[in-house]
Amino acid sequence: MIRDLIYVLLEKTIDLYIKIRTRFDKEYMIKNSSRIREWKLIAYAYSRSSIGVLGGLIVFITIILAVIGPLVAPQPYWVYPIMENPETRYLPPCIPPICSGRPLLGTDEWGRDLLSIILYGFRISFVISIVIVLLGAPIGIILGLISGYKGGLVDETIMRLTDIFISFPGLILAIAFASVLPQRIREVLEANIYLRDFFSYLFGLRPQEYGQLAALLSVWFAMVIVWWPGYARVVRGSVLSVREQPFIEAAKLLGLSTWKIMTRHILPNIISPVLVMMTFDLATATLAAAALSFLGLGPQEPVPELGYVISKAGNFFPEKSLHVVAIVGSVLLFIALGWNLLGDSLRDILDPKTRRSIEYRFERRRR
Amino acid sequence: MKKEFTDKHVLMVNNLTVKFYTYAGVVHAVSKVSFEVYKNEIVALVGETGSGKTVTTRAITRLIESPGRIEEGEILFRRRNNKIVDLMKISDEEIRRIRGDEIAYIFQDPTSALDPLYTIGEHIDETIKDHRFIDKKIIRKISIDLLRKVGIPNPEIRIKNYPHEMSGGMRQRSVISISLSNEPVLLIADEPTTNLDVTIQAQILDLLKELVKERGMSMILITHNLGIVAEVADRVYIMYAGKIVESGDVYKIFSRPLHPYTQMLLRAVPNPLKKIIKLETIPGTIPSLIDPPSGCRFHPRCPFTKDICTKQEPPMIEAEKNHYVACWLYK
Amino acid sequence: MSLIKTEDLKIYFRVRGSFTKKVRAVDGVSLNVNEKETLGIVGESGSGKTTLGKAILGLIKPYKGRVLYMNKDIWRMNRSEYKEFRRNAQMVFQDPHTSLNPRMTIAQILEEPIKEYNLNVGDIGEYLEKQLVNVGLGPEFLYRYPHELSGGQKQRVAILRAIILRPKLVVLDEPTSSLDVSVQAQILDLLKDLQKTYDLTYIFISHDISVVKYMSNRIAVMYLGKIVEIADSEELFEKPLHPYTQSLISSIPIPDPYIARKRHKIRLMGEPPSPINPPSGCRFHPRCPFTKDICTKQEPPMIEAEKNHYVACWLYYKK
Repeated sequence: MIRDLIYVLLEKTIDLYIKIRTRFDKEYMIKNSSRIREWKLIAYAYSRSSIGVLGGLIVFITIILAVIGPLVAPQPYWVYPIMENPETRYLPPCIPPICSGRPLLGTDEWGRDLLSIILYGFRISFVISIVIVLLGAPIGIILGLISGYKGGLVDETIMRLTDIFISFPGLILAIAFASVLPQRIREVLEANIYLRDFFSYLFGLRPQEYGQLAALLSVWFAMVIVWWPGYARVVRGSVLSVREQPFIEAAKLLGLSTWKIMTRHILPNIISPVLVMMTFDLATATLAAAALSFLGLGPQEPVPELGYVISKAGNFFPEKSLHVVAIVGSVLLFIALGWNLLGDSLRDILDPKTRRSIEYRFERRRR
Repeated sequence: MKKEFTDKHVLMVNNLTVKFYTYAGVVHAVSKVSFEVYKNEIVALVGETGSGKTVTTRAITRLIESPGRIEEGEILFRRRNNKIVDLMKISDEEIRRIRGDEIAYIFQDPTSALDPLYTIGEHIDETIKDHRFIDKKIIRKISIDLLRKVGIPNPEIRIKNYPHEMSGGMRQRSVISISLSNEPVLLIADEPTTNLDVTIQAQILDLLKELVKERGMSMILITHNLGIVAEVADRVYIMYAGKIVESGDVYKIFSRPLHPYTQMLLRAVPNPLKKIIKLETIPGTIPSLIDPPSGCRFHPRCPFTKDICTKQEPPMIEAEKNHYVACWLYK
Repeated sequence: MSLIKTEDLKIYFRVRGSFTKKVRAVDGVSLNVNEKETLGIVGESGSGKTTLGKAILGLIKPYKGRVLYMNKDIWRMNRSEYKEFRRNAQMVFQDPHTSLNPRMTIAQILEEPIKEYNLNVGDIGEYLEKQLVNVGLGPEFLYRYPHELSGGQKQRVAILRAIILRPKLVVLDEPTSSLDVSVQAQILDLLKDLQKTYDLTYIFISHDISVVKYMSNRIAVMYLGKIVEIADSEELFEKPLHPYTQSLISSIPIPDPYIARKRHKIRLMGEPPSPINPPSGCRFHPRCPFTKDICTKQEPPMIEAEKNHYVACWLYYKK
C-alpha cells in the first residue's frame, strides 16, 4: 500500500518534470522515452525497497529539520539559563501529561532546552557532512579518473599520493590543525565580514561566534583532506576495467579528446558505486565530525555541535546527564541510520543483476 | 510412437519436457523431445541459441536446477552392467554415481571446468577416486596414461601442471581426459571446440572420433557448426525452439535436407569450397520461448507456411529410411 | 590507388615484470590495401591479426615501421591531415555487447560523430532515422538503450556508427563471431551492400576462413606476427602454397560429409608457440611437415611464387 503511494508520488513528480521540459522542447518525451522509463524503473524499484523508503523518510526528516531547525528552535543556543537559575541544570525530560512546566526533553549543562539544541545541531551536523562529501568526492573522482585513464607515471604519482593521504591518521591531522588553523581562520573571518556572515548563517550560528566557527571550519578542512583518497582508489579501479572496453576504443577512433572520453564515456559507467559510497559516507562523515567535536577539537560553547554536547554531558554521566547522552546520541544514530539505509537500498537498486526481475514486475504493473 | 529399446541402444529419450519458471513467465525450453543414441556412434544435436540443445543434455543426468524443472520424460539408459534404467526414476544417490562415471560431460569452456587451485593430476585422480576403489599409485599411472592418450606430450611432467600453465587446446584435452577417466559409456560434449583455434579444433575432433571408435563409447555432440557435424557425426538431430524438427543419417540430412529450417541453415553457412555469390539469410529472429508460436514453431519464418502450420504442430514422420522430419510439407 | 600501406610494421609489447622480454605481436608486416577492395586477414590466436588491425587504425603505436594512409605516415601527420585520417578510418568490433556505451541511447551514440565533425545533415533526428533504415533497423530503435537490443541489432548500430562519417576505410574485427549463424548471414550481406553503396574499403579480420573467403577479394594469412601468404581468395583456396595455409584449409570443417570424410587432411602437430620467444628461422618450422635444414636457420623472404600470389616459404624459393 505505502509502496504504491510512494511510487505514484514519484511518478507524478517525474511526469511533472516531463511536462515542464516538453514546454520548452516538444520532442522531449520522444527523445528521452527510454531514459524516462529508466527513471520510473528506479522509482519503482525504490518504492519496493522497504529499507529504502524508511531510509528516505529519515533522510527527508533530517533535511527538513536541518533547514528549519535554527529558525524554529524555541530557545536560542547562546542564552545560558543557569546564569539566572542554577536549578535549570540537567533537568530530566518532562513529557506531558505526567509532568508539565519544564522543557520537553530536559536541559543540558547550561540549562538550555535540549530540543532547541538538537534543532540547531541538525543544521550543523548536516552541513558539515554534506560539504565534506560534496567536496571530497569530486576531488577524489577526478583524480581517480585521471589516474586510471592515463596510467603510467601519472597513475603511479597519484596513487602514491593517495596512499600517503589514506595512511594519514585523520585524528592526528585534526589535532594538528586544531592547534594552528583556528587562529588563522579567525583572522580571515575578522578581515572578511561577508565570509564570516556567510558561514555563520550557513551553520545556523550567530556571527558573534566566529571564533568557534573557526574551530568548526578547521575540523572541516582536516576531514576534507582525508576524505578524497577513498574515492580516488575506488574510481581508479572502476576506470581500469571500463577503459579496456571496445566502446572506449570506438570513442578514440572518433578522435574525441581525453576529457570528453573521461566525462562522457567513462564517468557515467562508473558513477553508480560512487553514488552508493557517497551516501554511506554522509553517515560516516556525520559521525566522524561528531567524534572530533567530542574530543574537543571542534567548536566549543556556545555552539551546540551534537558530539560536543555529549562530551560535556559525559562529566555527569549517568546520574544527572543520562538523558542528554541518550537523546543526543539517538539523534546522531537517527541521522546516520537514514543515510545507511538509503545507501543500502541504492546499492541494491543500482545493481544490474537484480534489475531484470524488477524490470519485469514493473512492466507487468504498467499493463 | 513408442519405440523399442533394442540391443543396439545405449540411450533413449522419450517426450522430454523441461520448463523454466522465471519472473518473466514460463520458458518452454524443451518440449516433448525424443531421440536415441546407439552403441558406438556419434550423434550431433544441432541448433542455434534457444534451440534447447544444452538444456536437453543437462536433463539427461538431471542437472537441471531451479527455476528449471523436468516436467515429463523417460530417459532409458543402458548401464555398463547392461541393466536398463530410467534415469528419471532412479534415486539421487544413484544418478550421482552415474554422472562422471558412466555418463561424462565435456563443456564448452575448459577454463571454467577446471579448478585453478588444483593440478591436472589432482583433477583426474579425484574423478577416479570418487567412483572406484583403487590404490593411489595405480590411479596416478592411469592418469598419466590418459594424458598421453589425449595427445599431451610429456604427460609425466604435465600432470603436475596447473590449468593456467596450459594453453587452451591442452586444457580441453585435459578436460577430455578427466571425462574419460572412468571409461564412460556415454560422452556428452557441449560445444567442445568453439573456443579453440581451427587447427587445434581439428586435432580435438580427430581425437574424439578415435576415442569413440577405440573404446566403443557413444557420444552426443552439441554444436551449432554444421561443418563439425559433417566431419564427425553419424546421425544428426536438428533442434529449433525446443523441438526436434529433423533427424537422420548425416549423409541424408546434408544431401537432402527436408525441413525448411535445415535447408536455410545449410545455405546460411559459407562453404569455402564453393563459390558463393550471396548467402541465404533466414528472415526474422528466434522466437521467444515464453510465448512460442502456435502450431509449428518455425511457421513465422518459414517461406512455405500453410494454414495448418499456424494451427497444429506437425508430427515426426519417417520421410525415408533413417530420415525423419516434422513438417506439414511431407504429410 | 593505395589507401593503406604498412611498411615492415613491428608492434611489440613489453612483458609485465620484465624490461627485456617483449611480445612480438606483429613482427614485420608489409601490406597494401587498395581502395574499394576487401582484404581479408586470417589467423589463429596469437597471430597478431587484431593488433595489426588496430595498428593500421593508429590505435597502437608501432615499435618500428610505418603505417601510410594515402602515402602519408600517420604518425607524422599534422593536425588537419590527422583529423582527415581519423575520420576516414573506422572499426567494427567483435563483441556488440561491449562496443556500445551502455549509458547512451542509440541516438546519442550516433549523434556523437556527427557533432564531433560538424556534419551538416539538417534535422539530426530525421537524418538518423533514414540512416537506421540503411542498416535494416526501424526508427523506433533511435531512443532506446543498447541493452534493449539483440546482438544482431547492436552490431547493426555499431556498423552504422562506423560508416556514418562515410569513411574510406573500415576495419572489421571478427564482426560476426559472436552472432548466431542465421544472424551472421544477414550481417555479412549487409556489409557487402554497404560496401557497394558507399565505396568502402574493408579489412576483414577473422579466424573463420570460410567467412573471410566469402567477404574478401584478397586474403593474407598470418602466423605468429608475420604474413605467410597473400593471394586472391579463390586462388588461395584452390592452390594454397604455404604448409600452414594448407593445414588451415584442411582443418576447416566442411559442411558436406562426403567431401569432409574423403579429403586429404594435413594435421599440424603441437601448439602455436609463444610470441615472446618465437622459433628461430621460419617461425612455423617446428610444426611444419616439410621442414628443411634452412627453415630452422633463416627466415624465408616473401616472394611472388605465382602471379599475384605471394608466399614466405623456403619450399618455393628459386635462386
